[in-house]
Amino acid sequence: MTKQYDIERDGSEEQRSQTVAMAVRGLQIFLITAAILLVFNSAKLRSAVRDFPANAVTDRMVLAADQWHAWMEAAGAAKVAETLHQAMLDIRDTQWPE
Amino acid sequence: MLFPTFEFGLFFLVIYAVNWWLRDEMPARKLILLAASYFFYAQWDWRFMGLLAISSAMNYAAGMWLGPEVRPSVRKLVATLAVIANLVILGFFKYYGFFIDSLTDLLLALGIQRDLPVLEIILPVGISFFTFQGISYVVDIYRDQIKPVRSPLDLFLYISFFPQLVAGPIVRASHFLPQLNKNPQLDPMSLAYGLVLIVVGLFKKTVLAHYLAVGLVDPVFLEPSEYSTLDLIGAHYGYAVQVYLDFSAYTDIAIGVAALLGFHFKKNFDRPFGATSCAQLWQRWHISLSTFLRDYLYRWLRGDKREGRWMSYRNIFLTMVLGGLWHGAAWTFIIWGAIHGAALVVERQFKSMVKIPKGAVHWFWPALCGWFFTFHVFTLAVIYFRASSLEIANEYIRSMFSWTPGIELFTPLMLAIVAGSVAVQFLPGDTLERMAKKLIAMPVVLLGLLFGACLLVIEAIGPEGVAPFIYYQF
Repeated sequence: MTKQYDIERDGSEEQRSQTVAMAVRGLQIFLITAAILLVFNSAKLRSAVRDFPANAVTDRMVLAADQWHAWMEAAGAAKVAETLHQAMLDIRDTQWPE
Repeated sequence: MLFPTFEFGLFFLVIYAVNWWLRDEMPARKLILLAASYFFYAQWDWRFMGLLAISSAMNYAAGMWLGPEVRPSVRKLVATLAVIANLVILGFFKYYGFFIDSLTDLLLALGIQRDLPVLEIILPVGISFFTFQGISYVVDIYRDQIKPVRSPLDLFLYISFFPQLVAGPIVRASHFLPQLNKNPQLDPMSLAYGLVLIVVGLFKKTVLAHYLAVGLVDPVFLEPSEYSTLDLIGAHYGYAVQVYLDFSAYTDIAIGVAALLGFHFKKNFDRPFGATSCAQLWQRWHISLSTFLRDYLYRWLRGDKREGRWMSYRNIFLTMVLGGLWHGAAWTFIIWGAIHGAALVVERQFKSMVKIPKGAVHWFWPALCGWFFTFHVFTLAVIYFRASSLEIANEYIRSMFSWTPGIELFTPLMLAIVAGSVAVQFLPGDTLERMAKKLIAMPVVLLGLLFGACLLVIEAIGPEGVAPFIYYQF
């Protein structure tokens, strides 16, 4: 059977407003996620920014990321990721009993 | 640009926002998605953007020549030439080195020494996947299953759409192209399901598959003779599970990302390690490739005639061997395909010979035997898939069957990852959908906190660095 590719505009206004609402909801979720990662995973942000090609803009970004990470460390937020990582390393290093 | 990276997160955030902002401007939205896809591809090597464009243009032109008004003999010629051209491009990049090495060896064996032209060929990432999509587009038009697209923009976007560009799933034109001509929709279920798939995919790839790779599989496969029997047994199970986790993770994330952009892709893995027969395994493993091989290779081998039993066995076997060869130009991949082809043939023959009367035994026992056979065919064959040479694969199997005491790398964590990953394959097939349904009613702040917390935990507990996906090399 041959399939047609005719342009279809979705008819209902309800579907349209639902899509817009869901797209905004998705954006809100991503922004909250970004905020959580910025606060609790600042070490990762710092290392990601350091991987950018060096220029005047990225140099400033590196300084800002270093400063941000220092603040998060001082506030104790950066400890969360470190603690989780260490706990996982302990599990990884567990051996069978002799 | 790999999915589990900061760069991809940033890239996706921008594309997500622009995609929905341009929801009602279809040509502009397609143009942005096309530009984003080429930008994504250029992050590996910008020179291959030209190859992607040439492949798309060639298939577009072939499609235009395959309209219903064209004479059947011309249609057949155009379709054949287009498929050959696609295969030549793929074959040149994938098999040139293998062909030159084999020819040099053959000439030396015959006592002839020749300096053959040696080129440093870099394999463009994703070439198999976009070539297969091009072939499926042309063949489906030739078989009158779809109509050629008039807009080159649609065809270029179909071939290059970034979520599936570099490692699949192989999306059929008949499934994708109609979606380009509808206003995209995002319902609560698609949003929640997309988020679930991304979290599950990232967990499988950056935590489970990565721990298996660095802690067990890579060191054991590098020097199999250095490890104990239990480590070897563990690593061969480990690699089978790693391939599954790695590849299914990629397609989970690809399907999730596409869903968040308003596109629907079909499932590519459906609990393959729960399969109780080899045939069932291939209906559940990399479904888009299995169905591609069935529709375009097996069907071509079979032709229009009704095939007899032995002819069907030959075609199944050849399909699997060629499927193995597609993974790479090496004897290890050919043997891997041959093992699976032989297992499918043996299983079919066995089923035609042995009929268990209904009620003679409880259903569980044949299912258990079938599962055990299927799982171990897969895990043994995967040794050839992973080993860097035939010698290492054979040495691995030899060492695995000669007892050496001790256990070093197959730690409790590795056992838990392997056993856990197999055990979850026996959960109902709609488990992730059910999880997503539970998230729909959740307030947005709570959902954001949950998604963020999941990503934070995944990021924190995974090993350092990001390993490329296994299927990028194919």
